[in-house]
Amino acid sequence: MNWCIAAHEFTRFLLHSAVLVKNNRAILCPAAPGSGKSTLSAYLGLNGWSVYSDEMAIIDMEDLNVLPVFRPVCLKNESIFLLKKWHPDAIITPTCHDTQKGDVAHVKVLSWQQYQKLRPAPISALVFPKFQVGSKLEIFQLDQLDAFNQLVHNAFNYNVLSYPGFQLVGRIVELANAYEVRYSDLKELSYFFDELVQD
Amino acid sequence: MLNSPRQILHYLAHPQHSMALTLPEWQQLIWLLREAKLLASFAAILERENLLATLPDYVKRHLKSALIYADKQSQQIKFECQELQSLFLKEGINTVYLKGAAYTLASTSNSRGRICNDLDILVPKAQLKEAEDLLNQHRWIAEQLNTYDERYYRKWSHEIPPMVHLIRGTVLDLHHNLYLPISGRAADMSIFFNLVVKTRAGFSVLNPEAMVLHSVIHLFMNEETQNAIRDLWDIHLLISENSSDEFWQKLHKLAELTGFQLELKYCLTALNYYLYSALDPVSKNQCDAHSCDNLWVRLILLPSLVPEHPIVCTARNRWAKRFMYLRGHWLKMPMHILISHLLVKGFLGLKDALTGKHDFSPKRLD
Repeated sequence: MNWCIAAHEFTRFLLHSAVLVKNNRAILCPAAPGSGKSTLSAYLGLNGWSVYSDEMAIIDMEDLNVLPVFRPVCLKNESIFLLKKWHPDAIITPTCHDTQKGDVAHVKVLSWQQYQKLRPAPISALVFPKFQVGSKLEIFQLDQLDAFNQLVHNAFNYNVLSYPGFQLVGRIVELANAYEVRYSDLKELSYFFDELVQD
Repeated sequence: MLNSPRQILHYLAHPQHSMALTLPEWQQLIWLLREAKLLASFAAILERENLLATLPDYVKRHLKSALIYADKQSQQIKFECQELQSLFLKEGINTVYLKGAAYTLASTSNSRGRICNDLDILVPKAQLKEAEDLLNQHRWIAEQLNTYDERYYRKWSHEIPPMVHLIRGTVLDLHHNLYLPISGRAADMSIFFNLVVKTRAGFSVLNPEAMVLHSVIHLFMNEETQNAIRDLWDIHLLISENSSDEFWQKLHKLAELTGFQLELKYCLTALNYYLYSALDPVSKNQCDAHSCDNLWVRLILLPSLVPEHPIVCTARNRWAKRFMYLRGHWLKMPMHILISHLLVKGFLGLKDALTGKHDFSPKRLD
């Protein structure tokens, strides 16, 4: 399904990114596979945040709002075990072993009723996460050029959108602050996320 | 519901009729057009007719999306051709741009929305080696083939193995003829090199009748029928753009001179069958005068042209396509070469199936 969207949707900007929303403010977490997007999405999704997606941000070309996608979060390998430990009552599919990505299970973070109430949300911050075993929470602010490069690097259809895509990424880095974070404790990271969406 | 392959081209030719389609019908039409590689072409037509804005959101999104993709590709084609042009001009190599690249460079009426898989260019055989070396020096690298395929291209084909740009991934087919010399049917290329015109930006492309005849050869001498409807639509638009008694005379003369009269007849038969109502009066007369009607045409040739989507491609069409596949090979090579070709291909296929794809081949491991 990701492929179908990425291969055919060129009227919106598609970014390889988790989208987490609270107080109608969206935080985008663009990152390569394996940097902890899904675990972070599942954790926050079960702690009061709305997960618009754990892997693809669909951004409107006009108003820059991010659209919600109704899909479960895809957990891989150890994070399945961790999430079960943190949330024993979460709804998780049986684990599928030995896939291309290792062990895979899906966790429900939204009900259909909750999803129906979600509206496109404006982007309020960009956070590029890096999970590192044992590290303390470290936050670096990125300048607009760095943020621009990172967004382009993580985009699915930037190469097709041409000039409108270039303009759009420029507008995003102008309106949203960008941070790189190194973390190992999701709880600590969630305090930072809460700060970002405070009024 | 849509179920006749003729309906696909009907909506392309009469876009205003699509205004009456229901949403489920639109869904089917979008499936079919996407499979036929005509979705963006249709979007371009609707946009030109100012019909795009009135369509349901669902439809508009798919059509616009397809058009954005195609427009980007056209931009890319112009860029690549510009690069190639400056490369070849410096070395004095005569390059003619073919097919999709030529349509885009010459802005023919079928160019907007047309999707290409690769760039096709033609150089005189005498300059082939020089052109290939030059491309190699400028980051165009041929994908490594097995010894048999490599020899097949070099010895028998009308093109050298496809080259890929190392950075941009664009695929380039370098031709020295329009059809395989081994078939005995390849044209005398000096005829075609004399039928070259320059676009406003200075790119060489075939003139209208040569361009049409090349598309006809490509469509009716080919073993692949996957994009046949798209190719037929190309030919239809190229013809309507140029249709006049003089144009048709020149086209027939060229077909006769190069030995492709029968293929031109097949093409007129197919236009007659799939697009009759959309043809201009001169082309209609041509179709009436030159269409052929026999069992082979009715049972194989015409049904084989439909897009490979289950809505229109029935078991009968699939058999017709298989037959065309064999016929395409039959046309390409003399009997003894065809037999050894099929034996080698069959053996290599079997070997791949048994031992895995790259077991013996010299593919790099990276």
